[in-house]
Amino acid sequence: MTMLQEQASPFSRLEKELLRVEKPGRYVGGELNQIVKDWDAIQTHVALVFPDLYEIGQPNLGLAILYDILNKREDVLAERAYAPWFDMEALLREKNISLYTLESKRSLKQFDIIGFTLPYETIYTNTLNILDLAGLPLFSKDRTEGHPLIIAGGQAVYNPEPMVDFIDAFVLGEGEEVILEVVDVYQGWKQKHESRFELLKSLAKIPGVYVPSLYDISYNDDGTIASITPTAAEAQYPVVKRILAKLPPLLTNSLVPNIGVVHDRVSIEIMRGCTRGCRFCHAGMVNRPIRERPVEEILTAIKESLIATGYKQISLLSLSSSDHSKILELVTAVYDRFNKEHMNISLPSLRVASFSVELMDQLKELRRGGGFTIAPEAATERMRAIINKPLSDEILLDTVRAIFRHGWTSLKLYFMIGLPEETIEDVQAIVTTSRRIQAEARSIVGGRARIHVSIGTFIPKPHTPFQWVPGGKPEIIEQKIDYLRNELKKTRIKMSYNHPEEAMLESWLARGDRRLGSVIHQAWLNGAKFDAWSEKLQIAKWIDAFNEVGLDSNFYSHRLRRLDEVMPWEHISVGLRKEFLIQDYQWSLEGKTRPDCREHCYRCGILTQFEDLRLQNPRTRWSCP
Amino acid sequence: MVGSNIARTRITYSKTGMLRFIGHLDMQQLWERALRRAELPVRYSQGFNPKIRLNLASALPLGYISRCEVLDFWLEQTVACEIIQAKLSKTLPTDLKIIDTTRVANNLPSLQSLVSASEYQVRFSEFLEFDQLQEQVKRLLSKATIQRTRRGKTYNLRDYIEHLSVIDINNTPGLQMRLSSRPGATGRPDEIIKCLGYDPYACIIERTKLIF
Repeated sequence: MTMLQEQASPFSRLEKELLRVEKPGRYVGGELNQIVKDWDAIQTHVALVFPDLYEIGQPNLGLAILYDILNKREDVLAERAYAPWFDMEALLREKNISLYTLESKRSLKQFDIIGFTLPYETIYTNTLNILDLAGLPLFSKDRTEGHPLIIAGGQAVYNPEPMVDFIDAFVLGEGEEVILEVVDVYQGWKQKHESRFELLKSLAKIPGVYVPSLYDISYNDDGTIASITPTAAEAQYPVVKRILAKLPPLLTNSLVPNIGVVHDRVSIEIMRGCTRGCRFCHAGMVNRPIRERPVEEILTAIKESLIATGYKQISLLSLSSSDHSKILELVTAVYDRFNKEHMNISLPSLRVASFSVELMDQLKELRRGGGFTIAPEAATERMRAIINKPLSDEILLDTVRAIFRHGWTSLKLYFMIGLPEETIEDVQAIVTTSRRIQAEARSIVGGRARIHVSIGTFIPKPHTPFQWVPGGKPEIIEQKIDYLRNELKKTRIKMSYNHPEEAMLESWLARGDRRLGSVIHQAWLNGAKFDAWSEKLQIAKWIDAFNEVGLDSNFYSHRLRRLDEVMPWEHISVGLRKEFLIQDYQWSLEGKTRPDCREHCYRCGILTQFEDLRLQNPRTRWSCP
Repeated sequence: MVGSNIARTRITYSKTGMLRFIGHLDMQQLWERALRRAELPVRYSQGFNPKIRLNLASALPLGYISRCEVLDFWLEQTVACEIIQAKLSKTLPTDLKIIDTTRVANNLPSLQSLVSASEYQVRFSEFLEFDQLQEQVKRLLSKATIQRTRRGKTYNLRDYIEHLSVIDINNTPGLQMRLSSRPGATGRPDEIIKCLGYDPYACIIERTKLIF
């Protein structure tokens, strides 16, 4: 027995304490479809980390895809780790146990490659915390040959600069192919026993891989960037994101969690990209071009996933579901094939149009319960023209009438405040429009009508036509929220909103440069973590961090940037021409819209950037004219 | 009208390893999904949001392992027990194993109402002497009342102890007990362990038998 105890793995020391933490099921793995390989028989060990709680990270489709792709390779194993909650972190630190993966329960330190997904900016301090809990040096410059390679991808890394101090290499764009190229380069390097610098240089040659330490940044007196210069021949300029010409087969045997998680269902991506060109929308700009999955492939995947996972809920995901060219055919076929099954389908991200109501109606009892959700985003036609989400009040009201006539009694509306050129009239219109919608709803379904207004704060994002505009000042945002709350209180319309502080933090980080690394580090030292959790966000720790480091947060969020300013992400390309973004921004100021680009090409740049790829795959459909 | 070909099926299963950290409600969800994966003709509840009808004999507290959990579900048509067991076993997480599958009469009362007691074995992670543990058990059993409070209610734990003794598990002393598990009169082994002066979190508690 004594011998056993001496040999005990760190996890077995932890196991008897685990019942002291909330929901220990978060930290133990053992789910169906989990892949556990023989550690010693595998050449390269990759840890995939979602730096938020298990319940948030587990359903992430991107990591699930990479987990599958990596584990399909015989010489590679991929395991998972998530951010421990406060109680678990305290236990790990108390017992001096390094953060481990759920499969083999080995410390992250033992892996060759650690890949973080960074889907949003407010996850950065958690990333530092995880490196620290793993017992690894936080700073890339302090890591040596014996340490794992730390890489990151995800929607937030299209501006990687705030995190460059901590991440060795970023993978830009769609990861399905490039992740394997990273593994190949790593394996080649390991065999040659070369320095870490050699590894970084080899990685920098892979298209889509950005190694930040190979670039030099110089600044102007006013704090803006003067130039971004590669310092090694291997460093690409610009680093262009990776895309797949054709979407790969759908993952159907995804992991089934043993505890409840946020999106507790099968997610099926029916389409990637969006052609609507909403100017505030980061996802719509960085995920071009549109690639659709064929109806038959989607139907087969639904069938297979239901059997492989036992889930009864399926979500058909895309940025704009009603824009799939075969959506009606798909939805009709889904009903015909699955209406006898005890299942439930959700079709989020529908356009404001009566066609969307018809689509949902086709699903009949397959979309049990639940309300209808639409996102007009702005309440005046003028503002909707500015943000390029053209929609007349008439169509909005027609859609609302169709929703209630088809039997829904509850409607959720998404609006944004703090948009560029916003006036008080635009904010007031959120109230008048919502009341008008409520009146229409009541005239159809009477007192059963429920209207829920969700207010988001606009945050200018990199690589969008609004990347130059100042973000709303928190005190102004607060006034607008107060106004809306007071006005909507008089009605029976329910309102939810994000706290302005959350928007503020996101606004600093989204368009930050690499000097923010010291702010993120200081904020973490001050105790910031789980910043994406409104009840855990302590903005004072961030304000202190800016002061301690000597940087002005307003410089990042509230400044109108010059059109000729060198952006911190100037050397990162998502395939869009800068001239296109500038023109689109100028058009917004004139209230000029760009309708759906499937009908007319506005030369955003994506086709020219990926012309070769498209030529190599002549039968793929990108929905570009 | 209850259809005559509805097949009420009872499985006995073990729950070990990492699954001991998965609670009772999550287990119900887990079984629902497993039954769907097995593509058995399971019976659903009526109503707006039909659910698979299933019935777990007795909630196993978080952290416990078990070799005797019992679950009832209903099939729309008869399927041979071996086929049910084979289909289900193929699609379970590693720490869940089916031990037995039988068909039971449709008119039996619910499983929960049939359970009267549970047997448990306790392994300690710290090193104990047989004599010392024997003495502690003897002293506990000699009491007429062991007052405990759970969820604000005071009860006499002694009334729920049907049996308690020290056993030898691989040359180390452990506990064997039978505690009442009737509605409103459920004895918990962790309470016994606490009364004996030990930390239940540092023990492995295994349910070994359900008494019907």
